[in-house]
Amino acid sequence: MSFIKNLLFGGVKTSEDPTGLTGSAGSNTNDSSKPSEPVVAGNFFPRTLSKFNGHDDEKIFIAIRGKVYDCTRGRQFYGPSGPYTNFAGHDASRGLALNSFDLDIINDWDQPIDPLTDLTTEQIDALDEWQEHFENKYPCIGTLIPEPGVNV
Amino acid sequence: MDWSFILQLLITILVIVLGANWLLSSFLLDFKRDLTAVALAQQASVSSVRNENETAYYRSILVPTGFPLTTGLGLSLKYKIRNGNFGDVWNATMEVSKGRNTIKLVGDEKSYSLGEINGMAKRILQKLSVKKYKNIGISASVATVEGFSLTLASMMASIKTGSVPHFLPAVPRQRVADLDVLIIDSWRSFKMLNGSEDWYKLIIVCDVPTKAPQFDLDNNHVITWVELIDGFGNDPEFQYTPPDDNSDDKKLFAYVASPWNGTNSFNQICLVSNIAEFIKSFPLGNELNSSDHLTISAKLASSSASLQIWGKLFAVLLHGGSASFVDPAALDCKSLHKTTLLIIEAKDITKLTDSASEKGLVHKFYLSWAINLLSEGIFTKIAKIEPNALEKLRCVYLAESVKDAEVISTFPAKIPQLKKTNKRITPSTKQLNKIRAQFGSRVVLELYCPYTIMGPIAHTNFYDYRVFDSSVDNNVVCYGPLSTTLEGKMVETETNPLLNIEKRQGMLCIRGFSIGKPVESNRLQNAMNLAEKFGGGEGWMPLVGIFGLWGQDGCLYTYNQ
Repeated sequence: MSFIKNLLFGGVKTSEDPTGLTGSAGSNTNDSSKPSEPVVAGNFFPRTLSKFNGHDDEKIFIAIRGKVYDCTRGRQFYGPSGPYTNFAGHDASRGLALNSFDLDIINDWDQPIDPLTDLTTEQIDALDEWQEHFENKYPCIGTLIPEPGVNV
Repeated sequence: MDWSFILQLLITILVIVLGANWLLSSFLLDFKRDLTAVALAQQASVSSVRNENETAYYRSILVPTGFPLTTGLGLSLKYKIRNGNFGDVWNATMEVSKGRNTIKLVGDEKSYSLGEINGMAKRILQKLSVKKYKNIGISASVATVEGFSLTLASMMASIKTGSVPHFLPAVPRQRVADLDVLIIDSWRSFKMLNGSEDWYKLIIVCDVPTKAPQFDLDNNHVITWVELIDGFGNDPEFQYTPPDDNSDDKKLFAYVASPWNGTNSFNQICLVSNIAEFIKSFPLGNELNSSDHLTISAKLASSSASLQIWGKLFAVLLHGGSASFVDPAALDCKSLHKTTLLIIEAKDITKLTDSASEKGLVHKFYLSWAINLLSEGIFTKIAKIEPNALEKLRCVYLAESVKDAEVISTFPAKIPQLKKTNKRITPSTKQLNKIRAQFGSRVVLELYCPYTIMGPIAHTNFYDYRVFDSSVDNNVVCYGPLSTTLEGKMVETETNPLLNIEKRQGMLCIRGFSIGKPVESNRLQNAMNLAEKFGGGEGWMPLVGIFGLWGQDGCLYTYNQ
């Protein structure tokens, strides 16, 4: 009835409160479960990183040598169906060093973080180049640390 | 008539009304809306990650995260892209209009063609180029033909000879470094220089030569505007060939001094980004065109405050449009018969609506319906107050300044405490719709930071007619998303622990291409210290004292203070 009522009696339609200040039912107060809420930059465990794979969460985060990069912009590469989708939500260091996109060489979230001690000089050089590429292209948003009781 | 018939009639009417309401609300209104509810609820692009103690980065949906902010005019130079500068803008303006479009200035009955104004400015530039002057201080209003042509000449000088216009709020009381030329409005001001005339190599007086006082020999460096333009002709051309190295894009455009003695420098990129931002702000089907006529309140054209008008003015002229400056005291609806775009201070708009002739009861009904339709997102002109005078008007820009530009300009280390109030100076969302209905035009509310940022920090969407509940309006003002030249974030401050960063509340910080750089070393150091504290040195400029929040719609809401 609101439109006809307003037309006849001179009222107006009020829009939902987008500020959350009034706390009305329609207002959009903060809700961390919403996919659009930004993630706080900081420390990530392999477990918390794994959900940012472009599928479970639309954001795409990739770790390289302990640093976590926000690669959401590169969805065509790292998102679902992209050529490097296996890297999304994971520590991609070994895969990039070996230039391999196989799922087998990427550790699952419940395995220890790869120390990369067995890499050859060429592989380390390749990894350096990749890291420089990520550094220039994507924002670094945090650090990958082992989760006590899971990765250590 | 029996009761069952009356009951049947009532039920039939009720069913018809309910059915009509359902049909209108669910289908017909949706087709008539200028912007869908979905688009209004998502006006900004938000970064996916935020740092602790601050919100995510917000920017207009027109420049999504991952894409560059508006950084200039995107001109081609062989295979490269240039941002452009004043020379490109004025060159294109003269080519588009062939000098035929006009500018009407305060104090003149006639309108000047751009060819005449260009001729005057080129003549002034020619005479000023004889000697190597550094900066040109402008203390006269740019809304007069004298002030406008001299300002234009100094802008031409900024790319041709290296002299830079220095906009001054008043005649300087202390010596300003590198200020070789001073432009003042009258002989009366000249008499009050009180010995400071010796600081300048040339003083240009915008007054008639016959009123000139008797000079002693030392005062032969004084000239009037009339003498400067002597011999000018109608000139519809302005030649400018950009260099290959883009160096002109990085040149200084202007210095702007504030009344509290802080000076900021603005590069050419600030101007061209500002122009591009204004052009982009028009939606499809409503773009700027050659029939546009921009009217600017002369209050916004007093020398150093004029920083905010250049982007809009040049954008309109660039499209072959015309412009006028009007004294706000003399402004009424009838004087707007040519105007398509109007820039006016928010506090002056009620004077304009009061100038309209008295309307009857029927108009009150129309007004009520129009306000209702606007709140539904449907634009209508049925309640226009002066249909003939306002026939062409299509958008009113309400300029609103930040509460305390002085505090922002000094970059203090101590952050003030937010003192919320329920008193709102800015028109409420319902009042804005009333203005839209009365003028039969769109209304865009803009937030400016005078002397520090060129162009608006944020402005509402051309099609945003939402009305918020009074409980929202009493707390905050919605300024729409940030300009496309800027991106912003809210930061947590120790003095305001009640502002919850997780609810996107805090103090506003911005970065982008329309921000001036402090000239004084102490202010620059303060700015760098503050930027380091709140942004980690990533080019953020904290706007100290502007407390607000990001709405779920991505718009900037500032608290009423």
